[in-house]
Amino acid sequence: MIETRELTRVFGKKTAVDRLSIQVGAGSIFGVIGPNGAGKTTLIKMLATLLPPTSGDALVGGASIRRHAARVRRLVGYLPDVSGVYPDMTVAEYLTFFAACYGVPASDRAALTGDLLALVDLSHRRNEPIDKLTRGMRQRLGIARALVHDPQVLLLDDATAGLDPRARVELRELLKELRSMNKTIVVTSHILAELEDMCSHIAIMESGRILVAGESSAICARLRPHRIIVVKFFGNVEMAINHARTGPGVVDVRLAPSRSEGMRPAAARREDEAAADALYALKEMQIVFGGDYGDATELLRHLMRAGVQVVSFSEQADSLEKILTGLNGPAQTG
Amino acid sequence: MGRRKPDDGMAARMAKLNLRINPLMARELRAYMRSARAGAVLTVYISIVSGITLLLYMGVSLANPASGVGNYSQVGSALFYVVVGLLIVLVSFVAPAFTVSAISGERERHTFGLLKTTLLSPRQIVWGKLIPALGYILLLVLATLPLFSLAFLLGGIEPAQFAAALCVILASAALFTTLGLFVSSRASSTLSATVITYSVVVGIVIGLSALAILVFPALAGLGTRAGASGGAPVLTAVFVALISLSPVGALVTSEANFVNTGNLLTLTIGPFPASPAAIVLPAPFLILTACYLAASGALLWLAARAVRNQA
Repeated sequence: MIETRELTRVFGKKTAVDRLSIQVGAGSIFGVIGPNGAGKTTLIKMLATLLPPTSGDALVGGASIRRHAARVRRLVGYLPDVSGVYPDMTVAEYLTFFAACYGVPASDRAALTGDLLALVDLSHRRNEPIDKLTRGMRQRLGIARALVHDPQVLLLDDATAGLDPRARVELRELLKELRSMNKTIVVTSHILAELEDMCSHIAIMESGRILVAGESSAICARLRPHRIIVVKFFGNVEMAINHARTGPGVVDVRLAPSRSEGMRPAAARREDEAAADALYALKEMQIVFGGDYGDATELLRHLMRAGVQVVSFSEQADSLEKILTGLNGPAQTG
Repeated sequence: MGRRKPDDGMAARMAKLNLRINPLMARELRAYMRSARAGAVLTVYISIVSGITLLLYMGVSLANPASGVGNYSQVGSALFYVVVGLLIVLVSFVAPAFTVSAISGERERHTFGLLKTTLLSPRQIVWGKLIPALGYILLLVLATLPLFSLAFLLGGIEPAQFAAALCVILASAALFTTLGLFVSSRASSTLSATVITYSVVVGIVIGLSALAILVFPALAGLGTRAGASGGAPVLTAVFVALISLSPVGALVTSEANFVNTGNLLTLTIGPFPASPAAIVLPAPFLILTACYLAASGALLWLAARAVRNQA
């Protein structure tokens, strides 16, 4: 669906995108991950025909962004990192306006607006001024706007930035739903963990170049052969560690340095204060994990069944710097 | 979701897009009419003009208790010039305010890129911003028509004078709105666009008139000496050009020429000692109208170009 050929964009002396050649298949969610200044936004803007390339070209649905910009615009829905709104408009008016800008007939606009608002779960807000919406709602409205002309490709620039965890989950679910509607989605972020479980393909970008690209599972396995799962719990440490070691997918277990978080219940009264503190202090163990998401679910069940009082169970996100350091090292193949 | 198919007559609709109402134009018109500013400007403007008219009428009536036809025509004439003067001030200083944030405001709201990725062409974006602003200025001019009719009723004004004044007002409105739009398309912020636009407007409206007034005595002195050498027509043409590019200067010169000679469309200069044949030029209001409309067209083209080249 998208193919870039030696795509390059230079701003003065800085090469923002450097001879980039990638292919994005139809119906895939393609995540572009990179630090600030990697060239992600420039790439998205070129694909959206907002920026002409300095050299090279890109084909979107067979149409060149250089020669057939109008055709590309019909195929592409674009959501910038900061999605602008007209504060004097209501939610429905905003979508109707952009539908008109894309040439949707007036007779179709009301139904289209209703459908899109239902898709992004904003039907109950349709007559509210846009400036009353939360950031997460605005982001969903932005996606609805990008869909008004029923594009085959969605370009989402840092779509999860600034969203609270709930809004991120909602956005992730929405993108999965769009993928099921056979939309091709290109989404950028500087956080690998945000994209890895929703993207079918991932590319890591730095200094305008793709360091590595491929199927999401393969890339993640290569970048992080073992994940770290952090488990916070109350109770006996040895018992918890021993049970964790026998869980599925577990490679190793280590106890994190002791935390002095006051978690002792007020009602608890013991004669031996030291023993009580040991029992009621919140502990943390780090599980080096080589399994998949199914194994992770089973591991949590395994710990709960064994009587470990699990307070939280989460994956530790690797910093992008760490990943890039790994990619830029001697083992990197690009 | 019950969505349309991707190729559901889309191409045909795109082809017709140019023939339909520009959606940006409709949005801007709605935004103008919804804003408190639109109503406030109209109310304040009509109140000021009506107040001045009333004061003028009362002043003349009190000064001449036994009023006759001559006094009425004086009031009519004064009323006409006052309303025209206010309209020139209005189009010069209010019209740019409606376009100076047109493009820069879109950039500041982060909606510029969204508009550019739609099927609207840069030209449609520029027209979509210009026409509602011009339409609102036209509304202000139309709201003044009852006062013009009062001036006609009182006498002292010819329809030709009204036509000349209307040309200057509308051409000025076109130039100053497109100037605001052009600067807005180039400026980095609305603030800088405002400063640049109003500097140019003040230069045109006040600067050119002041320059003409300051230069005129010098030209007259030079003209006396130059007349003998044949340079007077050139110097006079410079003066006419300067005065013709200022709305106030062009209107005053054209009206004075009409009152003195009865000729609305041409301005006769000379004869000079060294060139006995008089030079006939278009009336300053015609020169202004032609120049302003041409400049407006050029600024519109440049604004569309700037919109096309920006991300």
